[in-house]
This record gives sequence, structure tokens and C-alpha cells, in this order.
Amino acid sequence: MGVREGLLALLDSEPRYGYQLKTAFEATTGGVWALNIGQVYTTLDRLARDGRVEVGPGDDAGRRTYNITAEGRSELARWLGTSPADAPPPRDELLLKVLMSLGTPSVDAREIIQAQRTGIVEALQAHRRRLRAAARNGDELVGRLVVDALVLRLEADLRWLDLCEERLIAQTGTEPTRRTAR
Amino acid sequence: MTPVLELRDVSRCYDDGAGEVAALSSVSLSVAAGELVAVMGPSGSGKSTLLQLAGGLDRPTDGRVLVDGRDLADLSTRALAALRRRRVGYVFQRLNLLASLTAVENVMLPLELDGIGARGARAAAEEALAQVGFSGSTKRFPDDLSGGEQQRVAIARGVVGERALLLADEPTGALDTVGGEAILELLSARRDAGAEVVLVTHEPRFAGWADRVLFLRDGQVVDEAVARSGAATLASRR
Repeated sequence: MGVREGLLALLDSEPRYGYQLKTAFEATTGGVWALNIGQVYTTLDRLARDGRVEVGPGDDAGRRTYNITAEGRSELARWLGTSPADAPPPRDELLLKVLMSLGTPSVDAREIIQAQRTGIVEALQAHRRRLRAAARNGDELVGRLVVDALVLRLEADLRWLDLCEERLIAQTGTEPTRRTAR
Repeated sequence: MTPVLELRDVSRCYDDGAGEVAALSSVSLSVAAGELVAVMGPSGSGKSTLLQLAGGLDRPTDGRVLVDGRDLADLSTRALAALRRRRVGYVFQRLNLLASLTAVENVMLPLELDGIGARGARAAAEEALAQVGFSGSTKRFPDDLSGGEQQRVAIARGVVGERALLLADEPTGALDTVGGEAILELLSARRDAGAEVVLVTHEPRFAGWADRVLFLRDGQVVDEAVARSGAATLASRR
């Protein structure tokens, strides 16, 4: 999504001023995307140029209302209906760290995997706490959905680390600790 | 304050025919009141053994397990049974519901064994069932319940009453994500009220709820993730 699609989506429900759009954009995206007002007006100018919005007359305070047009609505519908490119990033940092650790004699790859796992669980704990705080502020649904998305991605990373470790053990044949009978 | 649960240098070995295998080697763990500790690790890493030892359902080969500052090895069978009944709530993978008792009667059982009258026990059991999101008649028998409902009954039985120590082994296994979160909300609420909770889970999303996460591998603690306390945390704990 770009700022452009975000603004069209917000204008689809009602006409708004530039500053209202900025506030609504930030609230709807759950605090993960801060906009400056300059970006909002630049984008609105382009949308007006392309016939996607119409600019109303200014009110007494000099604020102008933006309305979505039929062309704006069809652009929005096209964007919402298109699947995002879902190929994983080719140079994922976690992937590269683990791959590099496999060929690095001075470190134990399983230690690196564990260190990454601990880091991810700490991130999960931090998200969970943010969510509890958001719930207390009555700001639940949007916050919950944002955290759900982050949590599910971290989970995928953790499961991948688990799999790395299993494959590593399968390859090196590490056995559980055995002790001689006392 | 004395922690309710303390493991000091605890080991548990089994003979598997080919030699002695250490299911748990020299694990020390102290859980503070009002703390939720999650234990993660691959299968066979010793998670369930740790929980069995903590609950006095198994005895260590080496080391000491203390509940309320008392070494479980020093207690008579009778005293151990009383301690387990009054202080410890269990939710284990094997649900162990009694088929001849209804859902609510299963939950009432630990309270009645503890001498609480039927009326008080029933009220507390109904409340616990409501807290775990059990809906529908509580007078149904376990065979008439779905897997998720059976799990909710087992959880209600584990948390009913004023248990100081809650031990949960994959309590969210048969539940969907939202159902699992409700259980974690419940365990967190008990934690906020001062209980100690030890949760074995392989679900990272649920480990995220814990104040501390221990990672077990081959019977040893290999790492620990600690939630950083922030203003939000302090506020939630008053």
C-alpha cells in the first residue's frame, strides 16, 4: 500500500480535510505508519490531477474538503482486489545470519539459532505487553490485528529456526546426553 | 518472600536399556509469586518431566524440589497428597476427566476432596467453567463433550479454588487461537492475583504471554527470555 491507496480508502467512507486524513490514516494503521502533513497534500494534489478526487471550496478557516470520484473508487477496488506479491524477501536478515553461522568455525550454529530464538521470544513478549496496554486504552481491534500480524510472522521465523535445528541435529547426529550408571 | 516453587539442581534419569538417559540434568528454577514462566523446547527436551517433578508426581534422581519452602522428599505420602490438593493446580496433556462424573462434578471434585461443601463447590466450579469459556449445559458427561470442551473442563478443574501454583502442560492444545488466548488471559489473571504459573508450550504465541521463557534442550536450560518491564507492565500489576 502507498499513501495514495490509504487516502482513497479513507475518502471512500466520507469527504475529509487534509489534516483529518492524516489523523485517520495513522489511527487506521494502528500506529505503524506516521505521516507528515506535506505527504498528505502532495498525494492529494496528484489524486486530484488524476481525477481520483475532487477538491471542494475552502471553508472560513481555509480548509478544503476532498471527495472521492467514481474513478477513485475503481482504482481503490482494483488495489484492494489485487494479491500482494508474497514472495519472501530474498535477503532476509535472519536467514542470512543462520546460513553464515553454518560455515563459520568460530561459532556454534546451534548457539546462534538459540540466540535468535530468544530474541524473537523477547519480541513476542514485548508485543503481548503492547497489546495488553492497547486493550486497557480501549483501542483494541486495530491494535490486536497489527500485533497478530507481527506475532504470526515471528512465529514463522521461530518455526523455521526449530526446523533448522532439527535438520542440523539430523545431519550431525547429536544424541541426548547419556550418563554412566552410578 | 519464599517462592512457592523452587527446583535446586534437579536431575531425573531413566534407564532406557542402552544406558542411563538424563531427562533433566541439574536444572534450577525459582518462580516468584505473581510470575508466569513458560517452558519451551523440542519434544524429549524434558519439559513435561520438569512439570511432573514440580507437581510432586515424580521424584528427582538428584536435587531438591521445594514447594512452599518444603522439600517434597521429606513429606509423607499423605502430606504430599494434601499439599498437591490445596496448593497446586494441574492441567496436563492427558486430561484425566472422570467419565462417570458430569463436567461440573469433575471441576467440583478437588474442592470436595478438600472438605468444601457441595453447594460452595458447585458455585465455584460453575464460575470456573464460565471463566474458561465453557458454554452449554455443565451437566453433560465427558463422552458427550468435544475435545475443546473436555480441555476447558480440565483447565477449570486445574484453576478452581485458591491455588498458589498452577502447572499447565500444553493447556491450549485442543483449542483454536482465540480459545487459547482466553485460557492465557485466565492464567494471566491468576498470575496478576499473585499465583505462580508454569506453562509448558510449544506455541510461541502463548510463550509471549510469559514474564520469563526457559528454553530446554536435552534436559538442560540453555537460555532464558525475560520480558522487559515497562510502564505498561507496572500499571497492569498495580
